[in-house]
Amino acid sequence: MANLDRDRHLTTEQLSAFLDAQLSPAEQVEYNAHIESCQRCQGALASLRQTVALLRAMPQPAVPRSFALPAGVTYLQEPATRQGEPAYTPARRGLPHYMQRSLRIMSTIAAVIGFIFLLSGVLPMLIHGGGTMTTSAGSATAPASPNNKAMQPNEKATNNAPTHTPNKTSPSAGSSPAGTPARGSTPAARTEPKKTSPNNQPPKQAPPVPPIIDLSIPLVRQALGFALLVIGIIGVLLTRRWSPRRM
Amino acid sequence: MAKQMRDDEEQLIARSQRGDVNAFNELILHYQQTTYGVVYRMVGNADTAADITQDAFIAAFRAIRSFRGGSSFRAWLLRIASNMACDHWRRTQRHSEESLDVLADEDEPHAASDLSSLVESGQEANPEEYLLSQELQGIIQRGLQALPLDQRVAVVLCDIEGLSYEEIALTTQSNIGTVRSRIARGRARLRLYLDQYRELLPRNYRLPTNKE
Repeated sequence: MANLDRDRHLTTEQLSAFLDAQLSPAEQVEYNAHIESCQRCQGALASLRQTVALLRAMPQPAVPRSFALPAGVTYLQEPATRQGEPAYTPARRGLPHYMQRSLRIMSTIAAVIGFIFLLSGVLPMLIHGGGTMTTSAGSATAPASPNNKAMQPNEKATNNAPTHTPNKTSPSAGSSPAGTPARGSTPAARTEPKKTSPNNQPPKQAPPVPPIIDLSIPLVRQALGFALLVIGIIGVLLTRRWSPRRM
Repeated sequence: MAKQMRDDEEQLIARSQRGDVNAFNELILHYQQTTYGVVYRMVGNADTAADITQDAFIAAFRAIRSFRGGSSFRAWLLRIASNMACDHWRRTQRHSEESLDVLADEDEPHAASDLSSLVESGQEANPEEYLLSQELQGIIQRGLQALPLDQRVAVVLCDIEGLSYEEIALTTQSNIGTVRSRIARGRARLRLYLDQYRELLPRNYRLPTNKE
């Protein structure tokens, strides 16, 4: 019965759409013809129509109060801050990133300057010493470190002061050789100076002090160069280690 | 006239998008009856409907910048309101399933007892202006609430608020075919529901019994 009906009669959806005139004109004519000849569909349509009539007869509920928003309230600002929130978080992450970047740049500059100072101490020896190149280079840097350590506490503040002055002239000349030898000296620097790193970094920002050290003395230059190189390498290493942790 | 109104509405929307609460309040004044009506028919409780309507207007003002001009503001507003009503319904239904059963049990003897008082005389002559008794209104309201949410929204928007299929499709973010089927299924289901109370219906609304 039901299967036969479905084949021959209009579905509820068709009747419902017919009632609302939501069919194509052709369909509307076709369905109308069927309904006129079919008592069952007439009945179904009538009951649907009655249901709709009941719904349409439902009174509009009286609005209990005005829903007007209080004047002067700026609701618009709230979604603005909400939208801004996700933008805030990368900004917070970006702040140390900026500092990291500037620290790295400063460290690299310090390392470059340090290397130039070291080189300027070693070069005269190479020129004068000729064949003793390998040994003198080794002895020049090696004894410099114990001396340097002894000098550091006293000279830290003053040592770094001149970095501002040679800064202008030297990096252009020294930037190219800086990359390779700096890497060579990292194993030595890496192991030892880590503990002192927090102490070494702040002096870089220390206010410039009138130069007391005589840079014409090669040993002073070497010591200063080594100190700067160590500080620079530590700085670069530290900023490099921070970045993967943050990302 | 209609164009004038649309231009006014567009201006009010533009001002609201710049944060003008007064402009938005004019829109609220214009649409609060429809919005409250839809929400009320969906949840069936005046206080709850008022709260949802208020929240919907606040949410609409907060989101007004996301409204694109040129489309139906009423559909956009009713989408927010009907979604909030649906959310509320889903949230509260878990707790009120038992009370719904109680209601259904209560209906049976009550409906059988004083059916004659519900059918008011003289209305048969003018069915269009027929006033439904409070009790019949209650039955129809409960019938609406017995519908699945998607069918309920479609039937309320179509048969109570008189929206076109196109506007219902915009409101419910669905296509015309879906709207058509939801309205049809909702009406059919409601017809079955009302069939239980056919003694209560005035004669000209009485459902045909030839199905039996």
